[in-house]
Amino acid sequence: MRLSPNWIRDFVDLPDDTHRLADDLTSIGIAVEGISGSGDGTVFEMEIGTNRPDAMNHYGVAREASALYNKPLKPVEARLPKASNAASFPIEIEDPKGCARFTARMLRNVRITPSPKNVINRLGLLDQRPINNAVDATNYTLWEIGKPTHVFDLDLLEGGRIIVRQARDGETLKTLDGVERTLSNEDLVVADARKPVGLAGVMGGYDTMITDKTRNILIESAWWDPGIVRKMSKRHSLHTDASHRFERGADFESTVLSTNRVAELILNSGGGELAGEIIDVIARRIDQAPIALYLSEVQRILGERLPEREIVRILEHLGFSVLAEGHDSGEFTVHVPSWRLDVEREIDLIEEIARLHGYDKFTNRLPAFSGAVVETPHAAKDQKVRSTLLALGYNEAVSLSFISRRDAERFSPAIALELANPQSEEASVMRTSMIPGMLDMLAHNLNRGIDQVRLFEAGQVFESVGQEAKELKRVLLGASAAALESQMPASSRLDVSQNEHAAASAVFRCLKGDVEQLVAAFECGPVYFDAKVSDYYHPGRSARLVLEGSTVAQFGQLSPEIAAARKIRQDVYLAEIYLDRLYTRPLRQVRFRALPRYPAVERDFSFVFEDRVLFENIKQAATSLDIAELVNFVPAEIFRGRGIPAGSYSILLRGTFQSAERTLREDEVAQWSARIIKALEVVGGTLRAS
Amino acid sequence: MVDPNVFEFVKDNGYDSHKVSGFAFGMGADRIAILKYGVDDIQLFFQGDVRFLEQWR
Repeated sequence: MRLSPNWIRDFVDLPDDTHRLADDLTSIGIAVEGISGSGDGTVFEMEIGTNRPDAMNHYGVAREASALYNKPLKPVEARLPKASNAASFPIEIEDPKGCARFTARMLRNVRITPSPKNVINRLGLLDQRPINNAVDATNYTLWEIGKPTHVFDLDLLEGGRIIVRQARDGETLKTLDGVERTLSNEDLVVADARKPVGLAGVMGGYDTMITDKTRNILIESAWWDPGIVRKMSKRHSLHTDASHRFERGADFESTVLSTNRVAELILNSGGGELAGEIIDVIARRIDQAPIALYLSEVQRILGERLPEREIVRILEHLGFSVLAEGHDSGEFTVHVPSWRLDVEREIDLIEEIARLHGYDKFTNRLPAFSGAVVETPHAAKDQKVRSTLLALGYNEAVSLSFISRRDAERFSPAIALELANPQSEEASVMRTSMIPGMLDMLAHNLNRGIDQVRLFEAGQVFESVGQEAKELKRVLLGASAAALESQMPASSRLDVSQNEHAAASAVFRCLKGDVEQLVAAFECGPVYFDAKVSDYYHPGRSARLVLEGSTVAQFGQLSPEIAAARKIRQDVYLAEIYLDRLYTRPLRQVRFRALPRYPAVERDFSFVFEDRVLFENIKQAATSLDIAELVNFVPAEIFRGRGIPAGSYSILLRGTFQSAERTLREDEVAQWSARIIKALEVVGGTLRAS
Repeated sequence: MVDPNVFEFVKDNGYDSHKVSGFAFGMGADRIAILKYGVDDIQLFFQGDVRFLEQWR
């Protein structure tokens, strides 16, 4: 909103330097975001906090400036002629909650003309369109002292009275903007004896507005309940300067002054006379309780002993009345002015004191601190995870913590925590999985022609368990197939079959290798892999890592259906690592192992197994023989296709034998090999002629 | 200044607002990075664009 420093000068002495003025006001929380124009035409673009409707006008800012610069504040007064006699104009308030006060007065024999030059100029600086002297008077008063008012053509009000009431379902009102609106009994209206003539606190009616035919005017200035005005503004999608202020709390005591000021401005420009005394109907009082202020509390909160005189000066300049309780007691009773609905507690007063004293004027001092700096429990492990993944070529990314309900249900069985006031359906629950965010980020890259993308996100997911919320640490890897393939040495395929699955499984194994690298940073006991994974993974290209009976990771290719539904152009792979479980293991400590002094011997075993026999079974068969010298036992090649029965695969297994004490003999190696072959046949293997 | 009402949420943990006061301030790490490195759009930190991420070596 715009304010004119020149207009503020009507009420208080300001420094000539507008930049200094802008900085000073900003430093007490009345922020000047921009300055345009120069000299008398200077305009401040203001950003006033929503809890300070009293400062959304020239007089309110003048008051702040008077406290800031310790200058006297000129009161606003309306100078009016003597009122003539007039018939009464009853105002009935049927809804005291909605309308606490309604003040009005009548003007007769007024000429509707353009406003005087100075009014037009001042309104022009604020980008306000001048209309006529009566309407401009309400606008001028709004920007001067912050009180919205309204003017009616008195002769168009039927029945000689005003009733503030609930609208009846189906009643209509054409508002000043020309829009015909249907009202409900939730709307509060200003009505004459026949019909609604104004949407309370929001906008006046079209049919009773001031025209150049108007001769007699009724001025209205009322106090409307903020909640009711906010609801009406929303319901009718009508946000006005008036509703903006009423929603934030109007000044209960300002209705009389504002009515008189509007009257003064109209009479000065259009002639005419005051018809009757002011009509002021109070349905209920809005009073604010006085606040007990203790100097000891001011010192405790602000950390400094401010002089009592300074404290009293600040508060009194801002309009608070300060009464000492007894002599030198350090206790005061403070009465809150009617325009400060934001001040309710002692702490609010202390904030006013600090704000005007100057936040930058408090002595710089470090607080006393006793204790030690404690490392967060998982700092070392987090660091290791991060550095391992960065070294593997993954970039760290951060996505949002909120996802849609639909995504939560798709990617996790857990119950999600719902947000009370979500901004959108896309961000309505706390994430139970990082997958939706990761998929969005992968798609973001793929859609921009970045084919090779590998990302990881280390963060938390949130689950609702009973009455509680649980936060669980996870790290999620996301990679495009192209990125994983580019890391693959050409000759390193495990599955040499000539089919599509073999190609994809090679990519899968790259991801598996990355997961194994990560897990290898921890001291894990026996782990095994199996194929029991969530249904959003492609079966056959996914696996689960189990550590001591609990799933520590699951990973694989994202199901192509889901990828297609999310318009992801390439095969993408994900790896979910459950850090809360992995972190139960300590980091692997480096332990020196003496270098082998004696040569190793390799033996290959070529077998055919049915698909149901997993590598875990095969490996178990070999290792449970407890041959100490068998230091390695890995698959070297897998094949399906010509020459191998359907439902079976051929696997070349490579065993490595080595002793720390001596060179191995041929006969020992042969014996161990025979035992291994036997064990593999027991789990269903058929030895191939090699 | 921390509003004493905030301590109501943790008063069972020993935070008596008559004995304890607080000072709160926040810095958006992303905003500080914007100022320091001249990044032109805050959304870049949350989109995972590899061309952005790889600049931070």
